[in-house]
Amino acid sequence: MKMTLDDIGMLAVPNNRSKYYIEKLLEKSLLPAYVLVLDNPSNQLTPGQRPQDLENDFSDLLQTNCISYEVIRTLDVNSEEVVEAIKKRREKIFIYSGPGGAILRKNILQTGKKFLHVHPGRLPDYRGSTTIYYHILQEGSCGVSALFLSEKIDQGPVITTRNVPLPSDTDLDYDFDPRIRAELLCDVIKLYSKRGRIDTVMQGGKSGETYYIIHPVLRHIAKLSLEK
Amino acid sequence: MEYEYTSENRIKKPHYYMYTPYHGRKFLDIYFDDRKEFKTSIVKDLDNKVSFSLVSLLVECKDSEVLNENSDEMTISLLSLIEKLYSEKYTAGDVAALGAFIHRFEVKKNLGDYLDLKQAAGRCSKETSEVKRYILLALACSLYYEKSKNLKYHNCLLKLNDLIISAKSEIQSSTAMALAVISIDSEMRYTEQLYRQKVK
Repeated sequence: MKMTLDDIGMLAVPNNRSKYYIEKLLEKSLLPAYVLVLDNPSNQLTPGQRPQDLENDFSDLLQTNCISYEVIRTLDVNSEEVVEAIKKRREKIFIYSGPGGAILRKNILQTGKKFLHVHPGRLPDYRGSTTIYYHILQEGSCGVSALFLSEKIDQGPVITTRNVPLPSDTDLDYDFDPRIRAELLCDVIKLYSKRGRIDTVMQGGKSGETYYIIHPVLRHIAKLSLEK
Repeated sequence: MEYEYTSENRIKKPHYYMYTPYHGRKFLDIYFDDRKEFKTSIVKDLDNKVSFSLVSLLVECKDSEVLNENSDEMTISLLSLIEKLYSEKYTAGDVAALGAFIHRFEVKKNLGDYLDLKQAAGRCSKETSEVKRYILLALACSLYYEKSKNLKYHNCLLKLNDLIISAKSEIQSSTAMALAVISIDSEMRYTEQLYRQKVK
């Protein structure tokens, strides 16, 4: 039986990751009570979106499964419209699947809601962008962490972190990355549905490393190392 | 297939490297070809007497008119950072300073705003071209990667060298050209080592 979690909402752009999140949650019969969809007003692809993501299948997925949702035509997560929409909702925790590279600012973080993000890297060692590739190249492994977002990139309180076996013959960006995130997200939400709370651990501010978007040369070496 | 990352002046038109396409092994071939082509053309342009020793080039750099009282602060900081990294006399503060330069470049895609550069150019009688700063930062990244083996620095080095190659026509002095060759050489060596270690 599907269970709608009254405390759980979602802030999402219609991309592959958001679809994986919803599909995985559906698999476990755990549904967010509400989804705020941020849609690109220009109908152009945003980072991480593929042409097929512009079709309305994310909204269709929500509609088919009777998940209440609202669409705002903006990609600015910090816009007044988004903040107001979030503020008036009763859900306390929002699963975050926003536009790539966006940083939540004070105005949205001070709405009293918590934003649950799943980051493809072990925290605090792998903060920042495209950390899957750095993980593979530097450790020959992958990690994934769930955390609540703060103003500083990937420095919010950590819920859990785990190692993931290395993939073989898979699309790292569009399959492996959203899949490992969705799996961890489901485990966190499942635990929340049982316990009614999410425990966290603060990260040491100075430890850890922040990475920047990976250069195609390193990205190729990482991918080729998996094809070996 | 073209190595698109150096095909346009990346100071004027930065590349953001988001969701770059995957082309398999042949991409690495065109990357190495791009680097070799740059080296060949620079070496051809340079006087035979130019030394490719980092130490003597840095001394030349410091002695040049660019680095007298009129030089800009960023260039001086970068040179001092390189000296410390090279002599292994760097502190945690120096690594943090390098991190701040990298952050600025990675996020803003430039090391100085237009006004800053215009003022610097106005003050200096010879080369204070913007590209020189990128060459110095690339050398700092190279030296610190050598010590730390942290790919964050190799990553930044690759992007800086893309930019340097793309702005080749703006490299004015033979010292800066030779320093660029050193930076490209080290990057190619690191990439080759990594490829051998992880793929071959």
